[in-house]
Amino acid sequence: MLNRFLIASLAVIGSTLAASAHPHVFVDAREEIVFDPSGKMTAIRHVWQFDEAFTSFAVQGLDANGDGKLSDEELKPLAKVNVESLKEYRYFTNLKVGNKHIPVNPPTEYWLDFHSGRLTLFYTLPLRTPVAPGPETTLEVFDPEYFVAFNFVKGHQITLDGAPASCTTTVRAPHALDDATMAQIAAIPADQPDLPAELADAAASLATLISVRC
Amino acid sequence: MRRLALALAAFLVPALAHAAPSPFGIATPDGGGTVAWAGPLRGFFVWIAAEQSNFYRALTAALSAFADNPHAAFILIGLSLAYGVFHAVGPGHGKAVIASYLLATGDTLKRGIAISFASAFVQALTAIVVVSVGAILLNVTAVTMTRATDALEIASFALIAICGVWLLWSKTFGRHGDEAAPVPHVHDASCAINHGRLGLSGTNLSGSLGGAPRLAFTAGPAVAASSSSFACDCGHGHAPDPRTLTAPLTLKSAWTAILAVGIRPCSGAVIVLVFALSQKLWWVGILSVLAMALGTGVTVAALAALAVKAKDIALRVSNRGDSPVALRVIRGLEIAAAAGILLFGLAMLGGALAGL
Repeated sequence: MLNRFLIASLAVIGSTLAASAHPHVFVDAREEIVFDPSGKMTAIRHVWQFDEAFTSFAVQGLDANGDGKLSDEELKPLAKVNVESLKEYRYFTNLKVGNKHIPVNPPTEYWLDFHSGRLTLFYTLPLRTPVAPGPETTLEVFDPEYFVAFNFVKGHQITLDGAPASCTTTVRAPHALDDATMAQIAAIPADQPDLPAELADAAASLATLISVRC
Repeated sequence: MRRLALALAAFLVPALAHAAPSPFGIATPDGGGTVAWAGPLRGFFVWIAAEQSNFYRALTAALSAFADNPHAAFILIGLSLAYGVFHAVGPGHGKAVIASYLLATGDTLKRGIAISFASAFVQALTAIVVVSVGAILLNVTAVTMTRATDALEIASFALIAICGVWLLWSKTFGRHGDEAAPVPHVHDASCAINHGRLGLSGTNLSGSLGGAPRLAFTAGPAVAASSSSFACDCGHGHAPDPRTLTAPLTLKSAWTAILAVGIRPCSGAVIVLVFALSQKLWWVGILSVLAMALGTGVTVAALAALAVKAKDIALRVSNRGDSPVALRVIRGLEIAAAAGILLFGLAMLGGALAGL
């Protein structure tokens, strides 16, 4: 009986602690990979359009001169906060060649655009060193904690800028994880924004997978 | 006993999170946490996640189409209610605190439900206050408002720790009192606890309101033990004692827990309110958030009922067996739950302060 009580208690508390998805930011994303003339990848360009509700929250109080419009000047500080905060989340970006994660530098080029009630964040993540795409290059843009729900704009999921003519892209919808991997991911403390590499890979299968073949 | 406490701690620790930073620097994720789509409940959580997402999107869509739809108000309230229910099924240390609080105190089902709804409405209220002051009165930016909610989150963690401290305090001393008591009967035991707690929480309340502290800080073993001899709410799932229904302290004694849970507004509510405001639908936004609170209250109350019932059954069975060992184990569990709240509050607080 006592054991049952203990189990019941733990189940009650556990179910409350088991943090599940809580999406409050919905992003319509368009991705771009930039190539240099030698055919190496040099940067990832993100174009993330936020949903109306999050936009209204984000622009609250930004119309400093009260003219009803949001100028680049008025949006600049927010864009800065956005990209600086994203760093801790690794920009929700995981670019891999073969099975190797490609490191990126913090963005230097970024801006926000406000149009018909929706805010769009444009930013460029330079690769630390240009990388040849190799036989299998994948890009995932995904929040494993699901605070941000990424949706990829149909037909514009991925654009290759300056890529060799031989390169093609495919986009694969998310597929489910096996239970063991799920459990492993669930066991990671929440204060650890970076998933261990092998788990990040597994979690990414919950993400839309963009593949590039050259 | 130590093993149980350790088990509880081991269970809690992986879930500990510091005040999660926000990926965009605005709107901090609620609860903060890992993905729960694991284990036997995985399908359920994936489904909940999808529903949360759907209802939230439907809700914001209903808000933006509000002016064009004659049934908009009903649709919006319905969606808000549903969103509240689903939203609360997910994460939230608040619910953990309430469940642990109820396990630790042995409060009645009625009180558990009242505490659940009160905390949900306090949370709605803080969201309304944050947006009223932040957006309407001061017209601050989202960054500033996010800082305010982060500060409230820290206050919430501190309150959780305080809640844990005084629960632990009354448990520990209540236990001594219990040993001194002539008949170690389960109801007397929990009454001693309740009274130790009532006195302490009265102090907390009046202290926080700037009033003169009442008797309680002298509430050592002697007071806790002796106070068990007068009127007590040892209802425990029997018919609730009428005195607890009339006593003004019924909710007051739980205010620390309620505040601890409710003082940090939910990011979703804040976003919906600012969105409503931007659509010039402020009152609609408030209505929506209140409906959300009602929905949240339903879920949390169901959870609270589960916590109370689980304990109630254990109490009844151990009482029938009249085994002092079982009694002690239950009491130990209560202490473990109280310690869990304290540990949880401290870890969250430490993490949040370290992250500043």
